[in-house]
Amino acid sequence: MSGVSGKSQGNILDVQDLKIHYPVHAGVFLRKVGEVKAVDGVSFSVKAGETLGLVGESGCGKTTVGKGIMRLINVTSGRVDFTTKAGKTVDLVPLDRGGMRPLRSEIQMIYQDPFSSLNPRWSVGDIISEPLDVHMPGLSAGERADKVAWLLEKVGLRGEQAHRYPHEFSGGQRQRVGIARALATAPRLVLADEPVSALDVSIQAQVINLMQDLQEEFGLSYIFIAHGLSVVEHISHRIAVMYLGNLVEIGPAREVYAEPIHPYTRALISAVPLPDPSLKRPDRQRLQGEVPSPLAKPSGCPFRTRCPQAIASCAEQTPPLVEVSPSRFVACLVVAGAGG
Amino acid sequence: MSRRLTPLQAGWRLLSGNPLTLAGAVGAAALCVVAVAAPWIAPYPVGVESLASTLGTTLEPPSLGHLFGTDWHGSDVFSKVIMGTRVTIFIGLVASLLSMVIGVLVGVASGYFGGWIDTVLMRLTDVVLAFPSLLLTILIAASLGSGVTSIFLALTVSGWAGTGRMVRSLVLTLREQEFVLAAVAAGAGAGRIIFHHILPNCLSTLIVLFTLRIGITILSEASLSFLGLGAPSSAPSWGVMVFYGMDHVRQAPWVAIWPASAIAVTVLCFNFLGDGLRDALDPKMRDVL
Repeated sequence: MSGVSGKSQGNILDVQDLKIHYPVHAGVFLRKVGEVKAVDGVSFSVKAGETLGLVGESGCGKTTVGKGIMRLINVTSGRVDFTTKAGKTVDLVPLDRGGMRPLRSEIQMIYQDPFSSLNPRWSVGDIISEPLDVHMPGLSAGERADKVAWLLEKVGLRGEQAHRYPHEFSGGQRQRVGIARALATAPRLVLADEPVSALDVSIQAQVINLMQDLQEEFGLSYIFIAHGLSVVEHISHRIAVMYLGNLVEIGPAREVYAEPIHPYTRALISAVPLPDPSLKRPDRQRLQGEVPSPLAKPSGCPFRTRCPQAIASCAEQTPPLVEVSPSRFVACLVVAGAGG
Repeated sequence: MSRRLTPLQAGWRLLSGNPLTLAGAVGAAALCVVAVAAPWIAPYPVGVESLASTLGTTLEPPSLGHLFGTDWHGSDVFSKVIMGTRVTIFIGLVASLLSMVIGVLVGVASGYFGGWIDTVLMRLTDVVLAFPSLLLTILIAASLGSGVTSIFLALTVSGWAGTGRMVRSLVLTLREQEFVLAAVAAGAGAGRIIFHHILPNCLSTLIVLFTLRIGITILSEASLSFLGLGAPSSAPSWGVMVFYGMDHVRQAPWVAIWPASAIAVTVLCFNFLGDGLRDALDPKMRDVL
């Protein structure tokens, strides 16, 4: 699996074998009875200026990966190598809260819910300048106000709206405020956790276009988490598909979309609705059954219980990500012949 | 583009536009003035030494000479109610504030930090809540002896636990909100998150709790006083007067009714004021007001 997350120039983030497990306690003495393997050995990298789309259905661990990278939750094992503006590469996993603090100005996050992600008691100006207050405490009130107004204009709002409160804005405008907050400290990497899933379709497009414009202007890298491929396809350079805590496929967005290889990716793409209802998909795939509980993951390939192409050896071996064509990686024994 | 109101301007607009809040604010302010200036307002001296001068006119109904009548000692009820304001308001406000402060500290520490801190503090809360609150208050006051200090201690120790529980559950839900996550992701420390994000969002509940607490405290103090564990009889609180007045309520209802009305009016005033304050401090309400 060299190349998936191998050290190469221009990567600003290298995630290697990231595992996030939660113990499950039960009984009077709270004995540990099991483990939820929310993220079970995920590896990928993000290049400077690139957008990586991370997709999968609800509960597959994509948000957990994001929070693990941000170190908002504890990571069980693995490495998260982040390259700072100064060109230093730091592993974020062993850092504590204090060690993480200086790096937080370079990695920021956009949240899913534009309502709960803004403190209702703060004015929008105060919300946007919170990262500034933490990382640049020396800023004068005037400089701070100028910066807030500049940020508001960058995300398509008006500077004088800074003293308004979140409840006076629509969902799309609130999400723009969230984006302005994420940009306040001029980060290198922005994790967007389903930033448009709570918005109307017409507003979704506006916010995605805004994010693309900002990426060009500031040279940002995005990890764009979403549960559907249709949203991600437009903005992403590469797409990584997750299923039950594992990556099953990763590759350039256009190729993955036009020619999915992993059976799960194929099913996911055939589930994307077509704008024209008279068009029939010849290769429509429907998955049978439910996603298994992450408490009792199937042995071997996690997808084998729902896979139309599963064979006997799928139960014995967890398929590794294998490069099937340049820069395309698939974890499947059948279609990629991995482990053969 | 309308100009934003500062909390002070909003407060003024709220007072001038909302008659109940205005009444509450005026009433609470008047009560504080009366408490401070009581000896100058009261027309007759209150206390044992004044008994001799009024002997023979016990349980006199209200008249121009004695606005609220006299009690079975012959003391002027109006003067006693005025003097009682001082001890009642003082104990009500200070004991409520103390138990709120302790409850908020416990609730925030417990809810925000969790783990063993949460376990220890919540078991302690359980112990306090396991006793009927009045029984616990009496127990503490009795073991400490009578006097104002022991009333404070008894009311505070028995009063913080409910607030602590309430604040803990508020903090638990607020802690999981995305804006708190965003503050952590921005690099904010625990102090900043607690004081800038969590406490301001608890404020409306805390104000309502506090105004309710004042009523409960005044009534608990009255019960303590009735048992002889409260304020000394040289400076009787309203509670003491109500309970002693009950002995003669058939012949002379005015002895109990006036201090009881004073308690009711005081609790109402603080509740109205509290409701108004809660709205004034909520950004969402500022446009409506």
